[in-house]
Amino acid sequence: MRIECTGVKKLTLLAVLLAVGLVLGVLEGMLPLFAVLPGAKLGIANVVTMLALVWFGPFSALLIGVLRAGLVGVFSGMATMAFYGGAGSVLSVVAMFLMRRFFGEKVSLAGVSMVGAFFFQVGQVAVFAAVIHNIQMFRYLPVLTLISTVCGLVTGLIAEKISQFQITR
Amino acid sequence: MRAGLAQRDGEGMKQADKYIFCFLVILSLLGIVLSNLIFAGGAAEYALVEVNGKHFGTYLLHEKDGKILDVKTEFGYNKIVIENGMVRIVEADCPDRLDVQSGTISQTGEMLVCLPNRLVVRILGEGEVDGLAY
Repeated sequence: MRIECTGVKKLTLLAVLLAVGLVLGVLEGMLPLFAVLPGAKLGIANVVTMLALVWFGPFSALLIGVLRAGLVGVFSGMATMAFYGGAGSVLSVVAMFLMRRFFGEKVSLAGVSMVGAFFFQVGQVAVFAAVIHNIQMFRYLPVLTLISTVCGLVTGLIAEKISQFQITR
Repeated sequence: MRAGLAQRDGEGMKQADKYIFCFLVILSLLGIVLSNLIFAGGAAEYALVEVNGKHFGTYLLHEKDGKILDVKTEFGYNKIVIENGMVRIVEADCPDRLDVQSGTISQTGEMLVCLPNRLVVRILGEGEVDGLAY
């Protein structure tokens, strides 16, 4: 299905994407996975960022990614988490954009999402380590990237499915 | 209506996606093995407490009556209990209290982290204390 989406329609759809991402982000923060291994999460809210990337390009995706991280931090009562998530988000959106730019024909959103999730964790752990002044934090990284690869695959497939709906800009 | 879908090829995964998946999984597993090799160091013997990257104290894991540490710094308050070779954080004034939920650590290289209070508790193995530069 092709939906025309410009001007106010674009603004509205981006706002809806952000709202959906916010709710998903707060919900997944409540999952027990997060308590067992801080920093690990399903990343299901990233579907929204990927859709913004596919439909409206890198700048909208960056906007959604950063605002989502900030708002989830505020709404889940962990404002500091917003910084870690925000840093991860920026790196991940850039990585996903480059993946699509250079390997767009070869990979689906599943591949894009896995690479994005990997760089999300790199960014997040780098900020962890910087905040706490302890390079030992990088020990967590391989464990986190292992989980994020699997989760990224799942969320990428979901995003791929939804992105079948096309939008005319 | 579905005409537009022709060039957006696909539902599901492509070959390259599978390569990416395998590559990232192998990379992560390699990272886990490597970091265990690098950071491994004998039987667990000490608990090292660091705040904001600076040394706060080193404590023997096996002391007769155990030990209760009150770590009060400019970054916050954490109460650490060392008992029978196991370390846990029982109280903290940080908002998320993930450190309290993290439970107990006892193996060399394991860590408890309280990001808001910039506190790291790490278990060191035999002989590792001499090698630390403060």
